[in-house]
Amino acid sequence: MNKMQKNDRRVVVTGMGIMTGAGKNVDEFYDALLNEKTGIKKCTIYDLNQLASDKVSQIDSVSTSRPYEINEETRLLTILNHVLQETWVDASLEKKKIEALYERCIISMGISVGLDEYRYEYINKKKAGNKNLEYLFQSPQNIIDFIRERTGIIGAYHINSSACSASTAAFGEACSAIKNNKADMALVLGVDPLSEFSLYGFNSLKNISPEGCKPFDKNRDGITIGEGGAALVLEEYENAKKRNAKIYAEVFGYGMGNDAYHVTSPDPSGDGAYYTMQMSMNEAGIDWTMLDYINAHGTGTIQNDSMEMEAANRLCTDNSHKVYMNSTKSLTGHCLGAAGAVEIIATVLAVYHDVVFGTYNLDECDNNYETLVIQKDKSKNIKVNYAISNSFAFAGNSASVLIGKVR
Amino acid sequence: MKNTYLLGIGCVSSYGNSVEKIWEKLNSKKDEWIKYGIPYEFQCELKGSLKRRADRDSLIGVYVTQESFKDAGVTLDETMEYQVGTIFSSGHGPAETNLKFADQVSDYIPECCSPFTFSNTVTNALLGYICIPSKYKGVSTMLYGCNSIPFSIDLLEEGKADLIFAGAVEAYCDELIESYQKYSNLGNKMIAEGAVTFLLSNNPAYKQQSYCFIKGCMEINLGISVYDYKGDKEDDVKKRVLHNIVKVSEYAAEDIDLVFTAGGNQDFETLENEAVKEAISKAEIVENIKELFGETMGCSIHVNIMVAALCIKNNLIPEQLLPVKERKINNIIVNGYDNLGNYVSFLISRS
Repeated sequence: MNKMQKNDRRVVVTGMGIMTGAGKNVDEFYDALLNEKTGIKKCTIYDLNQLASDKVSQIDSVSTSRPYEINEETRLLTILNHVLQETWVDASLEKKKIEALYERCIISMGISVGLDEYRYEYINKKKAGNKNLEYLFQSPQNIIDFIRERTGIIGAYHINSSACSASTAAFGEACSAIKNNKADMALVLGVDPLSEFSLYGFNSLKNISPEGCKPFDKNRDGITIGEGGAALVLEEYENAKKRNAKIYAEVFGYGMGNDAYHVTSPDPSGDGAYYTMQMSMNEAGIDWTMLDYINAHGTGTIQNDSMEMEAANRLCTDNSHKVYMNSTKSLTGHCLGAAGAVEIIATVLAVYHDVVFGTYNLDECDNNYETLVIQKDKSKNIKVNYAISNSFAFAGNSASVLIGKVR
Repeated sequence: MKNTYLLGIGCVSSYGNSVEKIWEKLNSKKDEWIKYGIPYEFQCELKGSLKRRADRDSLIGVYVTQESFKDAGVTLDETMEYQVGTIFSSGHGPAETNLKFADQVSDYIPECCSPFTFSNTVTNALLGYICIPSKYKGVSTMLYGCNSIPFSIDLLEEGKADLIFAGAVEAYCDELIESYQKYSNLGNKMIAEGAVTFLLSNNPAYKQQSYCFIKGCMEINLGISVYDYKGDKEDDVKKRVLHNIVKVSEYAAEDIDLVFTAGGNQDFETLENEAVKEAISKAEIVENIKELFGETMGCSIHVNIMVAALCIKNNLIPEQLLPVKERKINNIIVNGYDNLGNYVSFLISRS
């Protein structure tokens, strides 16, 4: 493992906003996590009768859907608008104050299929005899203009597009920018809407669960697609204290890597996942006996969940301490590029409220471990000092973030 | 910030698919027959099922990474697999593949949707093809619209990698090119395919074999799309360009010798040149990289840095860039912009 350099700058979470099928704001989302209220049900915005499943986690209050004209608000932008509003209020921030930070406030965003909203529109219109190349030219400028107008952020705008690990990696990148004194504040975003592009795409891979995903269950049979948007404000600790910001948690480290194994499947040995979790712990300066909770990627596929349990169990070298793990995807569905940010919020809530969440739809776990506890039943109140959130993606990309109580 | 050494370069461009060919062409009389808006030739070493599955975006990424490794002359062994990272960026990702899959979906026949095509639609697909054969297991991620180098520098600074392949790929897509030709107002600049990978490290042991080092980096968002800039918010935009260049110049211990501008359309170029002269009055300006190489969208910043690195290494500014004369080439500020509106400035210095 590389010898990581430490510096004095600390990163804390000072605001959050979220919109998923399992909660359209942070309070509702927390309630869903505590009481296992799933957002997975029959899709009503697209006709999925020809696909292996018509079950998705859909945000019912968002009515925006195709077709989209140029400069019209898309489903992605509607979700983003809601999330930005909640986050800015929660963090007690205003556009004018953000503009005054100039390049010291940046954006780091994770998106996956949401980048194809305009491309898909282009193809459909072209087939209908109405070819409009402006759709190709304007993407993703339309998303950036939307965010800029609402937030006033002048610093760097970065989009991470590493598929299902996108917003976790974006979170890590933002942390690095603050730690390396390139920024004092970062808005981390993750957003991906439901789309026919992703629904038909994952259907083609034949890994969709017919009735809804069952992470870690011995009868698990695939993923359920969801949609969502989530945002977190990260700040340099001294700056946050100076403006009396509400501090939810501190970010102690993150890890990133590549399995270098297969284009779509994870390395079953769990080496890559183990490495990124270990990297985040090394940066934080903690060992596994201090880790309380892991919010798993936990998609509900045989391969991912087996690999992840293997990797997490490997962290725990004896049975002197229990580490709890769950997956929230049976509530929110797999939100693709937004999954990381959604699940980091769940992890922050776990730390803030000292609770580990259950795994909805898990009847009987694949494996039983002495030290790693796959939290099956409803949530449990325990002290959560340190927690990890994992995301694993196509092309071998992996990312883990370690969050904890402010030291 | 430690110095980040640029050890190796791999490239596909209108000027050729190796640094040797590019330098040779830059130093010869400008070839009026350089072609833009077409796919360029290259041959990557990828075998079997990986080669069969990969699309152009992935193949070109593999090629420029392999070439940068060969160019660097660095030796790797198995113990280093977690210390070698891959951080890439693209303006539009595998656009051709995404349009192809969108076309399949729009017929609403599930059996016509190819899982191979879908798995290549994710922008980071090329990372799988790069990492699998060579077992690069270190830090790895894909950026969209913005540049891979600032984050690579951060990761090296934090000790999360010893070596990073920092690449940018903008593979050929005829409809994407057509959209830029129609909607951007880049004047006489042609749209071109481009892919460049740098092998970077901040280990001083690599200093002697490096092209140059990156001493500083600044980014700011201009609040506009430079590709179709029409002169609006001029004061604001100029202020931000000026701020960025002044800030990055503060990393230099000596005078800045040259500034490579980002370029763009007439309105933006005028504004940028004014800002450069105000920030660094004595430096000469190289402002025609895009006229020579074409507008390579998400790869344009990398192209600018590649040319600057070649100039520093060879201690020469080719006549296609500036009139030949004796000049110091120790510190170059290289500017660029991306399709998220970020303006980025790097200070590149002689090792």
